[in-house]
Amino acid sequence: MGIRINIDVMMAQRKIGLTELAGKIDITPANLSILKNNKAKAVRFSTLEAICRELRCQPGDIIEYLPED
Amino acid sequence: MDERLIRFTKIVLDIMFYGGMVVFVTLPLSLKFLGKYYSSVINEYFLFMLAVFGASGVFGILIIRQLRKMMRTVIQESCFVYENVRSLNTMAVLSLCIVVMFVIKVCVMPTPATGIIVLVFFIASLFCEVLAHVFAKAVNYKEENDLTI
Repeated sequence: MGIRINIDVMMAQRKIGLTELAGKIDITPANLSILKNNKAKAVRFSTLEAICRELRCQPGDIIEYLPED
Repeated sequence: MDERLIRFTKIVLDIMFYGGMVVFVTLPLSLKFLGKYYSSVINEYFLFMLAVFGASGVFGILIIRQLRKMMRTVIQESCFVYENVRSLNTMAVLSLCIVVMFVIKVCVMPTPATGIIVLVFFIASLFCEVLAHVFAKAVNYKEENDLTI
């Protein structure tokens, strides 16, 4: 897929762990792991909003488009 | 669906599966018995009847095997899986195999019951194929829903 999730980079910058972030945005660590490992097929706006709020970033900081050759 | 109904269906399928095996194993004996006491035509076409009923029996047992596999996923509450789509596709093919066997029988020994069996299994095959498509869509939707974070 041409969309890459860079949430792990942002999490490292904010020094926050997977379980802690999952608790703050009210999703399970398993689901956050799916998102982190680029296995997710879609992201809800509410989830994206919560992630951006907790990581103090913009959606573009955690979602990247990679053109497929 | 009611849990007891699922359990009951599973038991019925188990009985059909093992009962089918017993019927298959004892088929030569039961055909001989029927040839003696029911209709002499069976004795006349003994090998042909044995081949048709034997092959159909195997296909029937395999259909029940697939159904048992599907029931297991229903009991485990994870029925929307691609395994069940494959099972439905397999059942469609097996039903068509039974149709072929009984079409051969209709050509050699035409009876109204054989015609009905052909019709029933042909429709069952069509339904299995359509259900497989519907199931595949459902599995797709479920996967998408599960992977929406």
